[in-house]
Amino acid sequence: MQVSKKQFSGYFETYYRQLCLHALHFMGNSEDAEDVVQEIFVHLWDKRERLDTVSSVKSYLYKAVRNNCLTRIRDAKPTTSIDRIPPDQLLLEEEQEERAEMEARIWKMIDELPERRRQIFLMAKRDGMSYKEIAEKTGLTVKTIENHIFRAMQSLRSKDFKAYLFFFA
Amino acid sequence: MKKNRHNLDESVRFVAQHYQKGLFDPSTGWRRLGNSLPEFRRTGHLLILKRVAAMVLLLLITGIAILMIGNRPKHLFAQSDNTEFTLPDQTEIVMQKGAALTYDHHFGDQSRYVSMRGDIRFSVAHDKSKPFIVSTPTANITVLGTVFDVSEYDEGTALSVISGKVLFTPESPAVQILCSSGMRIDYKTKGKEINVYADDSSIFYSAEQNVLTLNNAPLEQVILLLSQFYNVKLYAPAEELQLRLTTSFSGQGIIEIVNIINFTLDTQIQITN
Repeated sequence: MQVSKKQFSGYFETYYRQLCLHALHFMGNSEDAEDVVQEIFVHLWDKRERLDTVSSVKSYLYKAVRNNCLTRIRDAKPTTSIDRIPPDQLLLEEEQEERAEMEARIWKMIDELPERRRQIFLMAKRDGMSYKEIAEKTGLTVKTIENHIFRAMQSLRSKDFKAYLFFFA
Repeated sequence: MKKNRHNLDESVRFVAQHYQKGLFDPSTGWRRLGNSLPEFRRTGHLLILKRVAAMVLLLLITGIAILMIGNRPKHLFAQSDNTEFTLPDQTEIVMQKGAALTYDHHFGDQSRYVSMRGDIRFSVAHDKSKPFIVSTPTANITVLGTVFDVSEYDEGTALSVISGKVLFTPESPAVQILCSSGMRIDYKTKGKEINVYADDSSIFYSAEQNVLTLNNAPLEQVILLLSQFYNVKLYAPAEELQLRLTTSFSGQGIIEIVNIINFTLDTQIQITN
């Protein structure tokens, strides 16, 4: 199997974000996660003419990211690296891929939310603020905050559900 | 599927905790990759250049298409007799079956130019600053007045002036014939013949045979035609212009013709150049 320039840029466009999220589960921070994925794509390009044993580039990339992360963790100080390994590393590789794909879709959906709704959504889900606290901070009513969160979640759930049906139904 | 649905909230929390606008963006990642793989550095720029070029091309094509659609000449075709139509300058036309008329998007800007085939009556809207010009394959008609009929056929063009004044210019000889109310012109390309009919007179001219036949023709009209046929300036006293002439010339030169007229009508016509 050989990878052309066009195919390579296509793989990058398709898998970059989900691989970063996959790596993020191992590395715990976005900078290290992106470093891993960048390195993997450089390796892929270097080995583009020697991929005879690779049947699926996607699986190859996921495995390479996972192995690279585990190597980095192993080579780092044991006291910090052990803490970084999340308990769900026992998930099957296929399940990890599905999770990363879903999270990439969620990321894109958050990107596409209207600015105001995205801010409120992140206050609730990222900062763990209650609706009352968000209402006080933004000057909106609790009802409005509820409405924003409900609509954001509705958008995520419906889009995620549709995407899932498209791929697997 | 149940497992994915079950884990959605967990994934949402995970993504929200790490979400930053622009982070993990493939375009940004691709630019960064160019630092490690120089061969993709240019490709990235080229990609942008290609996209820009594609956009410019798209805009160009769209613009040209809009321009072409906007500039496309308007074609009118009569499928039945007495088809009426009003042109943009409010000139009204009545087309007979099979007649066709074309004008472009410049119609009315500087002048009013139409080309036509078949039989069409024009009631031209008054506008002295923009002459109304009708072109047939064998003649041009410049409109100075109002209502006239034009019949274009295989062998020539016929004009009938209902009211006002019209300047008729056949293809060859390209002489200008001023036609007023009640006059008719029949031009045949074969033999390059012009027949001018008024209520009580007629003029026939054949360029090929060099024959000019006048039947009770007003001297004013005769002088106008002769000056154009022979490309000379002719002068006649104003009081003589209403005289009528009935005669025929064949093969004579302009000096001989003027002498014949002066002798016949006792006029003072002079060649001034």
